[in-house]
Amino acid sequence: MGNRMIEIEIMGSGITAIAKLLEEDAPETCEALWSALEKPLETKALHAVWQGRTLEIELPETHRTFKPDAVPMENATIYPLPGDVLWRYHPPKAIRGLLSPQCGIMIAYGPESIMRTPIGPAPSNVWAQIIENKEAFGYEASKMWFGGARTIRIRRV
Amino acid sequence: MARYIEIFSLESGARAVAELYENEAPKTCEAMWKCLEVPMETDGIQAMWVGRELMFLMPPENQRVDPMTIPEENATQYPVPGDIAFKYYPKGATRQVYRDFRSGPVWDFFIIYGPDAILGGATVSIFAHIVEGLDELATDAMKIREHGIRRYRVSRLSQ
Repeated sequence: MGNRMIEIEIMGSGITAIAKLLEEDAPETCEALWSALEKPLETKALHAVWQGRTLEIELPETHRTFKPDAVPMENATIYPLPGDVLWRYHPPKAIRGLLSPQCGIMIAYGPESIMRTPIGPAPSNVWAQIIENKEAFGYEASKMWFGGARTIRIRRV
Repeated sequence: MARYIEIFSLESGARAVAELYENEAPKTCEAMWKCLEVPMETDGIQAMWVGRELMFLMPPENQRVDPMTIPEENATQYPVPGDIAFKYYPKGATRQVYRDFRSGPVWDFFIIYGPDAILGGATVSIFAHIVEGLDELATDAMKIREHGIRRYRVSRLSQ
């Protein structure tokens, strides 16, 4: 039995990446986020301002099928590799002026992605990895630095 | 006699004024003032590592000095809101990814428009500080992340 997979598409680009869930390394995170994707997620992605080559996606209320503070630290890092798909949660009022997701999915699309906030390194769970179309996705994502926000769709394969 | 520069958003009309740190960063001020012999009109870019930083890549028509002769002056690793800094990177100095701008020489003219700027250990020369219109400029700069790069004009302010 293979790992579960998700599709990540930057809408309007024709580029869809396939990522495999890291079920052994981050079982509870995978369970939580798989359940969140019962309905496909189509929402805004923003380019990071502190985290380098990272796309940041706030998980909307409509898809919060789990208690975000109940997901343990699993397979965490502060230095993601290109293609890493991550999860991190901060309590809503914890950090002053946070411009990263408070309840968020992040995608490291290139090198020099760093998980951090203004109050320091922010260990984030690596729960999936892009295994198909990584380069094309990375290049398309890189256009968001100058181009601004895009709609992204993440759904179960 | 203090000298001032103006930062103007062509998109929104937001306008800020900065005073040059003539005493603290004389050579950098002289260099930047010369570079602004003609107004600098270019895209404002939202930083991807520093946080609330509005950066400009000084275009060729404003590159009017030898940047290697500008010493580090009034430098810090912890710039505060309103600080304006200049840093030069020679061609090939920083790693290039995705055919981004860093393959050529980079004349990085940037403004810290809000709190929590993280330079990650880099040291930059602060040669000016915004004395008017910071909130207005910050509100405008915050939109770049959502809407993409937008045009600004940075120019000398006549007395």
